[in-house]
Amino acid sequence: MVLLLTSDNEMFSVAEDVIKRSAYIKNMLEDVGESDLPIPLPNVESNVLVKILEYCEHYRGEPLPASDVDPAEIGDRSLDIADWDQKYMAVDQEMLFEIILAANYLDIKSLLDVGCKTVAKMMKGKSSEEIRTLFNIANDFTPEEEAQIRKENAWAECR
Amino acid sequence: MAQDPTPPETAEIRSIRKEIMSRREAMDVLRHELQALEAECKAYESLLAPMRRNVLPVEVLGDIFSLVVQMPETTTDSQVTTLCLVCKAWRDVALGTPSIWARVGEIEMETPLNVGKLRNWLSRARGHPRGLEVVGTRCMYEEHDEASPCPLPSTTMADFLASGPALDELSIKASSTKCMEELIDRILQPQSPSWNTIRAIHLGMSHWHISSGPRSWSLLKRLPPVTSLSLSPPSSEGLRENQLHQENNKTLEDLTLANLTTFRLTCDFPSSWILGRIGTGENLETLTLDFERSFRDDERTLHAFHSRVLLPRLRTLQVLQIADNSETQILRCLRMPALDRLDLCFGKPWRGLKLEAHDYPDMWELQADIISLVEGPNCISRLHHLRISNLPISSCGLLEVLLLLPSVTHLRLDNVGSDPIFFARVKDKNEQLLPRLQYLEILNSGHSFTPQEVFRFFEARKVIAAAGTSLVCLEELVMTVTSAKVFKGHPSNLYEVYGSGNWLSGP
Repeated sequence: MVLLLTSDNEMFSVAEDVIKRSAYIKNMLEDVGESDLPIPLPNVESNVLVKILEYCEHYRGEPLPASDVDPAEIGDRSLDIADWDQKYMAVDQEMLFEIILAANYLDIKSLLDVGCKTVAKMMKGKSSEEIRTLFNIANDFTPEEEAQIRKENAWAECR
Repeated sequence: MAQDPTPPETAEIRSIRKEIMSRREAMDVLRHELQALEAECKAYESLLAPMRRNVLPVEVLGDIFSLVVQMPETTTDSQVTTLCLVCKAWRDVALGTPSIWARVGEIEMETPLNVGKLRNWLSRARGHPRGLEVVGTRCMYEEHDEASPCPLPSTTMADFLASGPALDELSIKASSTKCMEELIDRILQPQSPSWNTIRAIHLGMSHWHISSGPRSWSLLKRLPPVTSLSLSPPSSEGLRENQLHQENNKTLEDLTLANLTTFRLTCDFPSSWILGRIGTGENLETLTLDFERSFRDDERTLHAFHSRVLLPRLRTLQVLQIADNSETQILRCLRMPALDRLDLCFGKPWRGLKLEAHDYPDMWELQADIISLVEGPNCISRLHHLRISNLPISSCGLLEVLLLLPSVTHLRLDNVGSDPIFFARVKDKNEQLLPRLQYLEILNSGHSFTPQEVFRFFEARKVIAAAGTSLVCLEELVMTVTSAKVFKGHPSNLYEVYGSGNWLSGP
């Protein structure tokens, strides 16, 4: 078992084959070897780690992706999200982004990929204004700046 | 007062009403205060919204942007502009994500292109491989409108393709062969560094121009040194009577495939002509023959074609939009000893027809075509991936075809219709049928195969494999009955029904 210490000082005892889906933890275990000391995770809160472990537990036993293959580097990636992953990602925005951040920190590429796809799908077909509303983003462009960007990007006169 | 049983006097009623009014007014004040507090709370919460706080690392947000521009519903350029207009931080991230600027798709050239802006756009892709698709839509008829010529073969466009920025992939779709020839003529200046860096090119044309029949069509000689070519010439129906036959040996005679590793041909030319041309593809690794257009039956039959075309390095063959038996005959004339993937996609003439069990054809021709692939010198022996789509075939015929291909490890049957006794026939041949099979996909099975039969097959294979035979255990089974429901088998004997969220236990 591996001990993990979250940023809010909660201790988790996790089976090694479950948490090894995290390349960060896997590498640490390989570098440090067996130890009774907990691995501190200063960027992950306990409620997020619970969610991360749910994912790792679900995919327990499935082959780990090759460490040198980053989904983001693959040319045209499938935008499909497996059914279970979709349900797993049905959380509020705050948690969704926490999962993405934790997946990035813990280097769980498949989970990061699912998280990014989920956010990308939320943006699908939306205008800039709708995206701002969706994510509570303030528009810091002046109307002139907006017009300039539109002009720069309209490289085909017919468009 | 509330407990007093005596009815109130008029003055008391007035007083009570006044009290009620004052309470209501107090409630309204409180309600407004509550609403104001809720709005303030929401405003504060929005300040904490993750996207507003820029909590996502730039590379993660950039990755999300890359996924967004991949979505098929919109054009890449409009999606990128949308992202750039959200806020300044997002524009900076977009500008720092080369991949989203790398592909410009389907520019319909009704008016001249603003090349300066296009150059600026593509330059943001930095070292990322760039791709461009242009579509000439003005030349809808054979003759040019001299007053308003098609902008596709313009000097500006030719200069752009000749001098850059360099493209890795280029797709040009022209309405007429004349437009395409003019454009390529203009590109070929002494200095065309960008043209020569293109590695993959697609040329599509809708009509033969009156002045450019296939014999004079020499643009293929002037293509950049690509390794991937996709060619979609106009239909042979657009040629003058018998022109294709009379000039058969001359038609696209400059088409040489020697330097190509990938070739896709979408045309309705006779199969004998196709075979004559692909014979030069000694380095081909992927070949796609798309018979999407109409054709004359007699031109696909190859009974008189006795020679064999050797494609020694070919690993993937796709034959698409096959209309009938005569079009799979091309398989008999090919020798592909290294073939790893075979994709046979039939058209959909049978779809919607309610066939009786005995009406499914045995597809003897297809069986004979497959036999010719697996027998004789340079036969296929390493075929691992087989996909068959949109084929009505009797259970007997399907079983015979599959029994011929024992090396297959991945099988996909998509919209393959058969009489419902296929798995009953399989029972006696379980050990001989696809003994290396690891992944089985049965998609859009309709009523031809039931999940119960497929699961029983899955289980039977497991039992036989566990008994120490040479049979390989199936690792994954995916089945869709309709597009809404997907059954997926797991080694743990649980079957997930995608779409309904239910889990089925094993049979």
